[in-house]
Amino acid sequence: MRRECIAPRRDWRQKVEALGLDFHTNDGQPYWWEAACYGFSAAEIDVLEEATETLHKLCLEAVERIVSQRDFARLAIPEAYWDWIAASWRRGDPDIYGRFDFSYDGSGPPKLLEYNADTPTALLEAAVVQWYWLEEVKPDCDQFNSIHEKLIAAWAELRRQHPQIPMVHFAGVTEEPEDARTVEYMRDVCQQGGWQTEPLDMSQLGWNGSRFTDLAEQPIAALFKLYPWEWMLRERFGANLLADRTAFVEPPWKMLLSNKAVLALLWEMFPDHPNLLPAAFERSRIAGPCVEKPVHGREGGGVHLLAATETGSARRGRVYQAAAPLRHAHPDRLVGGGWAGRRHGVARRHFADHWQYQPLCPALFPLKPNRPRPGSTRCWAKSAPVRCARRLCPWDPARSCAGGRHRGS
Amino acid sequence: MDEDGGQKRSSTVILTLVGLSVGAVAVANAFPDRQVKRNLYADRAACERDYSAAQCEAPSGGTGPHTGGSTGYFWHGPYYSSDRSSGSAASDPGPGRTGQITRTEISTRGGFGAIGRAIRGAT
Repeated sequence: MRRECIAPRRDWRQKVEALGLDFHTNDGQPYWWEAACYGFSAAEIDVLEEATETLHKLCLEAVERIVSQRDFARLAIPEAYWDWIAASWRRGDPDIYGRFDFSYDGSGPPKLLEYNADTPTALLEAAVVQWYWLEEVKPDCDQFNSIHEKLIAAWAELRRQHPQIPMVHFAGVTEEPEDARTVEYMRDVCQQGGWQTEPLDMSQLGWNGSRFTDLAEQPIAALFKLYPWEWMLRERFGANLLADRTAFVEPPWKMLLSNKAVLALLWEMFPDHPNLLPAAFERSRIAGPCVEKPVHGREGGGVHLLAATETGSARRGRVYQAAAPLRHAHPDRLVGGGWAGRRHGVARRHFADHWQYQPLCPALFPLKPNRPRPGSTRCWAKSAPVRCARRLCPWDPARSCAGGRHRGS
Repeated sequence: MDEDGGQKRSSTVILTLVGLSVGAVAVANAFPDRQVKRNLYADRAACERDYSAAQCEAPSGGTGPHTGGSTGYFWHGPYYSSDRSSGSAASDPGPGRTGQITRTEISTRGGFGAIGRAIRGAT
């Protein structure tokens, strides 16, 4: 893997804005950066792809374990929602996408920094803007990036499987350009997958006493929301989720994976796994410098880098992850995203896609301010059976959710 | 690993919404807390005493009189503003002529989005 300095396209701003990337500069600082790109060998791409697929499988195992052992408390999830989340997992509510953030320098295995499983952004940049950049700047190169067509295929698969659902509503914080464009892009590929769609702001969602509704007061059958589950649970309508039967994308069980606590749980389940960094709920279990993260942290908020002698805040709801060298300190080390999600036509298989590929290609880009990582844990709570209230399945109203199906990879 | 055997890039990327700047994010303004109501009726005739036939919606859970807990068995009148103090818009169908309703369904908004908006506002 190597970082190559290149000349930005003269009219790059207009070009990326035409693709919806109108948030390429934040506070005068470039977010989209065309003065460099990363090139990979095919073997390196294989490594990244394998790491993404492997971690996705490990994460599914982690979800199964959390649900079967009712280990929600360590994720700081309110008990009122435990059965509801478990039911989402047991009945196999479909997920669409997620982004693994890796630290990687081409030597040694990629290390997982965190998994953005619920509300990943940088999607438009990865799937679209980067692809168009490649077409113009490096047309002879390849790119580990077929996110766009795989998203369309994933939505098309859901369309075929759930013809009874009339449309998908899309909601986010539309005042935020990055969120708005991500929602808009996902709505785009959803429509290309054969769905009717309707956009909303999160604050426009209604509640009529038994269902979430749109602006026409029609019940929302399926909702893509770019809004974290942990926020929804805490807000005024949160309790209504337990009574409603909307099908959500991402589904409730994905909140277990977007939670930073999963980093500690993964290390507990798979200690010394080559793609994991040591992580724990207690600072004392991580030797050397580490990073303290709130389990419900977002976009680097509340993250602290701790020197080897620092003990951290010792506050509840924190995870400690061994520090890994990051790009700002080591230009040849990359924080990159591996996308995982449904794959068209192959039930229960998942795709893995990356931003970069092959000799001298793409990637330029964003690589948001680097973040830290978490740590490992204690013993698992005693296992308890998961009960699923007898109610209709959001994605399949004809079927009761009781029993559910096994989710594999 | 590459099951398609060749290149790993998308063969084509076509956008139909993104970049058009129409409609998609036009709903951007924070939606004010709003509450609307609609009347539920035991049968169609009762609903049509208050509203026109076109404004009455058949039960989603089957027809016929029902007084149980699910609103799916009731005939529904149109939504109207619950705030009658500030004068109603011309399009507001009002609470009905007779007031002989079985139940009233209340729909509220603004129950999601507060944390996101607060965080965005703080940054």
